[in-house]
Amino acid sequence: MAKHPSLSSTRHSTLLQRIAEPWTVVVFVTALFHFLRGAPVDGAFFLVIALVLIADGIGWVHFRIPSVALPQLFTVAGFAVVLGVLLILAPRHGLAEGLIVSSIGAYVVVVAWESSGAPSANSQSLRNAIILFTAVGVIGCLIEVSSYLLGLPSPEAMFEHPSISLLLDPYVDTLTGRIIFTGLWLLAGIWFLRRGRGQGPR
Amino acid sequence: MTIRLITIGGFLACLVAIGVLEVIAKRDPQRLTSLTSMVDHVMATRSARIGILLFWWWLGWHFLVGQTV
Repeated sequence: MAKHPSLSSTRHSTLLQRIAEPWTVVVFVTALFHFLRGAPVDGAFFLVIALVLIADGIGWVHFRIPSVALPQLFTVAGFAVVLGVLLILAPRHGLAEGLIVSSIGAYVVVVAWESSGAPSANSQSLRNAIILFTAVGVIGCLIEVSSYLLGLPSPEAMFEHPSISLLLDPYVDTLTGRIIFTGLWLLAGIWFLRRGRGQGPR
Repeated sequence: MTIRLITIGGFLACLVAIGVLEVIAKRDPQRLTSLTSMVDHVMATRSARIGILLFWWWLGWHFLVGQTV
């Protein structure tokens, strides 16, 4: 018996929605941008994650990552302090730095793969927040991308149109800047991880 | 130099805008959900959770490990 056309189109649109989930699209576009700016390693990170998310969303591959509970805040903070000290003491751009940051990334993916959090009720105030915060984020990204593109022709143009990396890099090169950046980065990571696990303070 | 200041001003304006939106959300939660609650909502899906954490992780990689400039 022939399938009902509307049933087939619904299944099609669901499949498309799974492939084109907003964050998957954002990760994929970022991968393309990294390849475009001549950073293939960064592009590969984003492309691999985008493909994993697409494969997982469609159901082609079921990545069975055992659910790992996020330790208590006190324990996480203790680990963050130790890792933070190591990140500050290790030479910038060195192998030790790479191993520590890579290990943090691998751990975060394992912990964040499953979540006990659930979406809250879709209210008008939530829709307003998503629209406004996203708008600010998009404007920030547009300034960053346009600065990068306008700065391409020459070092003078790069000075006139600085990207966030160009602005922050000299500060991260100093000890104080390194301590502040590393501290904020780890704090933000703990915050995101706890929110993603539905464990943040309500 | 002027264009440089405008660019820096643009980045700072985005930070200020997030702060202003957060203050509005605290004062009038019926009109605007706070950033924290919005992140809770968004991160309930796996793609958003992994995507947001990827961006966060990449910042660390970019500034600490990769050749930033």
